[in-house]
Amino acid sequence: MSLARLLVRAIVVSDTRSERLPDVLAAVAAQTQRPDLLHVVLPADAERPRTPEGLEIDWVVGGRTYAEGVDAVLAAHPSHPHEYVWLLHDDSAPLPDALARLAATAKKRTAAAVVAPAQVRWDDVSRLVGLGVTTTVIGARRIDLVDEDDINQGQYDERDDVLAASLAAALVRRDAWERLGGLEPAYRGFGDSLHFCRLAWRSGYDVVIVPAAKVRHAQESLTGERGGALRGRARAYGAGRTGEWIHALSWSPAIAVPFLVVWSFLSAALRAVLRVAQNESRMVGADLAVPWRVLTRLPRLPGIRARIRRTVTRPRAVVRPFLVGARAVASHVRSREMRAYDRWRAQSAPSDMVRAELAEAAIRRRTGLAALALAAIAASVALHGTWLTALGSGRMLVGEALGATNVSLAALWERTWSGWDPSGFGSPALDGAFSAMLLPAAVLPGGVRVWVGLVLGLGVAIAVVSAWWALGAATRSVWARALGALAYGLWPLHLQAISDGRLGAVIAHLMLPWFALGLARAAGWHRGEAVGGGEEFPARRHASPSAAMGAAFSAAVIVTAAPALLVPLVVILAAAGAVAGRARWRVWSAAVPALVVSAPALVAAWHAGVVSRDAWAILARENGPALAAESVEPWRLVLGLTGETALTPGLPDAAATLAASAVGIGIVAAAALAALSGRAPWAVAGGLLTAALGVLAAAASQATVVVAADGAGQAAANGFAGPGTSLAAAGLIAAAAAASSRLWAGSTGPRRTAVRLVSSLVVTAFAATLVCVVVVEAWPTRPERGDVHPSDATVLPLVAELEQELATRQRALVLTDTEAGVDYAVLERAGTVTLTGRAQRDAEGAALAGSGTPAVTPETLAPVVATMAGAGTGAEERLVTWGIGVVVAAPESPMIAGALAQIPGLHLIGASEYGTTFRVEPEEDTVVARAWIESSGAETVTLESDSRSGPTRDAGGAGGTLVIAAAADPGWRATGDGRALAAVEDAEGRVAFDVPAGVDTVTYAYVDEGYRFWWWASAVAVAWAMIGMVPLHDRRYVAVRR
Amino acid sequence: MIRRVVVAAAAVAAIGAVVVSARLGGEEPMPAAPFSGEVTPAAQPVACPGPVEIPVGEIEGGDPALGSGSDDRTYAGEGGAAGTEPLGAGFLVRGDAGASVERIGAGDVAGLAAASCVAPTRDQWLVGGSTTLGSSARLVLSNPSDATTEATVTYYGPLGKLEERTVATLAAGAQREILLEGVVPEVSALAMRIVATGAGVVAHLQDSRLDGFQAAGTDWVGRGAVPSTSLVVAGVGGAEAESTLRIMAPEGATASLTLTGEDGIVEWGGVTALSLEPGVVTEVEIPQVEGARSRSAPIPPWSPRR
Repeated sequence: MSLARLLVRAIVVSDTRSERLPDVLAAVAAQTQRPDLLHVVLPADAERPRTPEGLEIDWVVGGRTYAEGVDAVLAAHPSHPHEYVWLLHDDSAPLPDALARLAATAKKRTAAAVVAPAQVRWDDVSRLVGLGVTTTVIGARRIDLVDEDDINQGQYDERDDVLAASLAAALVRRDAWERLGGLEPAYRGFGDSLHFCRLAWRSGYDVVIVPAAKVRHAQESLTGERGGALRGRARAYGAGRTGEWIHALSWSPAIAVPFLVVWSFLSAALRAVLRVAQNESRMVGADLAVPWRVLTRLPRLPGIRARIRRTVTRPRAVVRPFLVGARAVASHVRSREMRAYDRWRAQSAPSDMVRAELAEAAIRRRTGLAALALAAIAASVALHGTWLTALGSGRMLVGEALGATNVSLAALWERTWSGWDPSGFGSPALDGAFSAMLLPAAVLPGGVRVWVGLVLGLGVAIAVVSAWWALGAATRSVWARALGALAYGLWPLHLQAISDGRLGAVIAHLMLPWFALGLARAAGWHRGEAVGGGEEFPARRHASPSAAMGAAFSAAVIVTAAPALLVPLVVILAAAGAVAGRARWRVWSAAVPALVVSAPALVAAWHAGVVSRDAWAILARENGPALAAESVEPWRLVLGLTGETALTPGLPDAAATLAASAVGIGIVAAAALAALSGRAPWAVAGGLLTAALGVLAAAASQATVVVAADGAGQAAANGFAGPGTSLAAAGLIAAAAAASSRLWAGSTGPRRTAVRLVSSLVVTAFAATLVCVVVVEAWPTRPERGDVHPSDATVLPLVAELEQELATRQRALVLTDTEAGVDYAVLERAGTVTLTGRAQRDAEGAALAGSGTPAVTPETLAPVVATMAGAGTGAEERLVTWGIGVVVAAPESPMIAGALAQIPGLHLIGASEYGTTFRVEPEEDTVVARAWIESSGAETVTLESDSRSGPTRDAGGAGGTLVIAAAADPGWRATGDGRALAAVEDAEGRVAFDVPAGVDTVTYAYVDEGYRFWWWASAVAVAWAMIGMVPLHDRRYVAVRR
Repeated sequence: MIRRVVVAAAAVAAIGAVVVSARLGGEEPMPAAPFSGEVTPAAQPVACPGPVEIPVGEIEGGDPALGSGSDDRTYAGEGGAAGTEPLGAGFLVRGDAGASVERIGAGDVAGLAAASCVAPTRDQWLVGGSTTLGSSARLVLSNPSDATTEATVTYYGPLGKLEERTVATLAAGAQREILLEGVVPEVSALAMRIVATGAGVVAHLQDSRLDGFQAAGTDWVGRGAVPSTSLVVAGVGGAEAESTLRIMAPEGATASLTLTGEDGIVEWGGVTALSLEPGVVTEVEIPQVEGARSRSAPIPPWSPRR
């Protein structure tokens, strides 16, 4: 205990961006023990605040930073013995007895370099903000030793030694300050206290905290409120994290420095993903910027470490007891989360009575969902049960539009990654979104065959359950939700799409309810559970950012599956955002992934003329299976009638039409009732406008030819009205459901009786209608709506398939006898596959993503096929030029099999129930391949390939021409011995490169940089939406933040 | 109030959308036009069946006059400039035409037999032969093309279509013979249809008759015309011998026969109108009539004849 009196020099440094400086000065003036000297450091031409009574202030002109200000004062005034510096911020106001307590402790603890007070909230002195800081053993993550906003009940009064404390309003020994060199400038104000205190410990000093001494600290730098900027929190966070890393790099052993730098990058990436999931987009940037900021400060690191080495006297073990491990970090994070959860629950907990009603409603709801799910699955099984059993026995669904569904993961990946569509003779693809959408199905066990089959077979059930969830946002009545869901699931055009195998329309129909649900929750328009007294729980619904991401993801999937819905969905999101109030940016941002995924089509439509039929044909393109369908009047579409409404045996025409349109009539009638009733006007208006957009989209789709006959087996087709009518039906059902909300419980007296009676009748009638619809649709002798049926998973004879799988990647030509002649198809894989998506072509047959000239298609093989069908010789050499190594005569085509048997260039290799297979071998030892090097003198060198590239292979050294049996396009690149090869014209329209003599190895690939850029952009956008969809921290933090 | 306006406006917009979209003009998807082209199929060689064979084989009696065989045989096969290549017991000619002539002096199959080489075909009718006692019908199938073929032979007799069928697979360059008395015995008037896959097959029928121990003639039956509603058979009637017209309608028909000579239609006292049961082979005797040279048989459908 020293009897010498302390000299306290108080230094207040201000940059005049805080408005609390006068309060600080007043607090200093109110101290029981006033500091001996008071310096206030201000910038050069700043206005001086009013000096409180009795205070002598030495005004000093300061530098840019806090440390420079302090150093300026200390430089001007030499050191006294027993001098302590009281470092005050311009937002730290000590309570009256603070300095006395600090000085008392300083007198007792002479070895203490820092004597720090407890920091409390500026506006509520009972809540602690800071009471010491420690850090982790590895990585230097800063851990506050007190929970934020903890109520001070004296629980920390015993604390004295801590690793570090904030230097705001702390007493620091002058000689220690000078020996340790003051604050380290490399931290730029964030984390320099921790560094100073740790250095103090290692240099033989102590750091003591005095819980009884309280200082009101507003932490303006930390919260980023300095200067009134509310967005500074992200920047302050970034600066703080950077400071933590600099601390870790400075204090860890030298060998760990590179690992820590790498770890900072990894940690930043993980945190960024977490921020995306939490839907805090500004913090994503801050987190990703942290490692780069650390890198920019790395040059200072050797200096910092040198200073540390010079100053320390004690070993690391001194500090070790203060450091905490991973478990402390985990419990710190956990207690923070629990606090927020508790606060949210306290704010939003329902009362007991309400809780009982909510429990009842939950039971009703779950029973309804279970019954509905059973009914939906029963309907699906009744309609398509044979498909499900066939899938179980290993067969696959096929159809004229659907093609073969056993697509491999490799095929889907190559198609989406490369931007080259290999069907026919290949062509550049506009986008690879459809095959990317099917990638998860290929990865899951069972493959595309099983999952596409399940989507089609259970399409009705999935649509019903999805619509149930979505209608929960419009009304909480179990009956209304169930009926609306069943009406949506049994929508006739959805059934038509399932039977036709139009996978795109089916997926769009399944995802629309999720989009609607996401949109409703994103703007906070969803209904709460009805509780007694006409109220809802929760009384005020919050907009949910995760729901907005869910809507974004659903919109992206819908736009991939049914591109015709892009324009309506964007219009809906724009309009919804305009009326969404505070959630408008979130709602508008939901359109971003959909627009990014459709970017190539938007660019192509722009080039085709912004408002023209061609542009609309591009926007309404069909990515997946397509079929020509009859155009139907719009009013029929609204009622769900298609051109091919199948007749029901036993019913006259009119009755059959009525039965087919029963669902549509019911929906329209319900929507009309909703509009007339005047309830929920905004929701009803929104639903009717959505229906209007849907009808327009449907009519415009079916009036446009979206698939041109491309000579690779695809017939011309117009757009399908299904997705547009799905949107219309969704809008009408939503309008009806919203208007029916609280109908049962609302109104009183005779009106209530009437309402309840009428609604009971309506519900019964509608339910009966739906049951009748299912019965009529599932009637055994009714002709099928479409042609999807289960079939063997083998399409081509095994011999032919094996030739396609070889490294030479031969193509197969399949010939079929028909009454009108001979049908032929050039197959890249077993079966025509439309599930990998379509390379879009314009009306002249030029690929939209290509250079504008029509590409070579298998149409040019028609004379060759005719010659072969007539048993003429000499045509099979042309097959070799296009890499067709196998000719298959389809089963039950004896004429074509007989004709092919006579051709000497075709050798029979097998006959099975799947067809008769011939190998193309015009001369002895001809190897047919996808790519080869031919030269006039030397032997032909065949190369290995996949659908769009070839690995580096030995070229033989003789030179020649590298010929690739694919349609020519500028995107093909070939390199020989590392140097690019020059492209040459090929008479047949193939890709050809000139290989100079002496080149040993060649490789080639299709490369499209623009496509690659689009691919990564849309992958990032969709991944962002998927991660943001996870409902993390949603309701709780939003509630307690506001 | 404003809420009602909003709902009304939305309803009007929805109905308006339905009306407006009805006015959208549409394009129809055009199906792709099929390709029609002319094709010349590869020319197949023509083939001949080879020498006549003795139905019962070589049987030596003590007396040369009683033996079935004969040493006095002359056989010539001509292929013209292209030359002949062996095809089983016969030959093929890689040209347009060829023929073979054979003369046997004594034995069971004494006589003169000539056959012309024909190209393979997928569907042909052979009308001729008999498998009753004393008659032998030997069907020779040749495949001069480079592809395997499978031939199916269906038989028709006086009682209609017969149940027995023969299916023969012939490799490229193979020849096969079928003794019909082992397949369809005791059929007095025989007609057969041969359907083959691939390039088709060349079929010839060796028709041998024996009158006790005396040879009653041997000849080759070649391919006949396809069934049609009007057929002309030349070389019937005449002052030298009687002729028999063998007629068959696979689906049944009514046939009327007209005999014409150098000077026009010749009246003859035989049957002029025939009602043919499906598949029944009918024989019509044509007497010797002066100046008769050909016979025509109009009206529906079908019958190859002899």
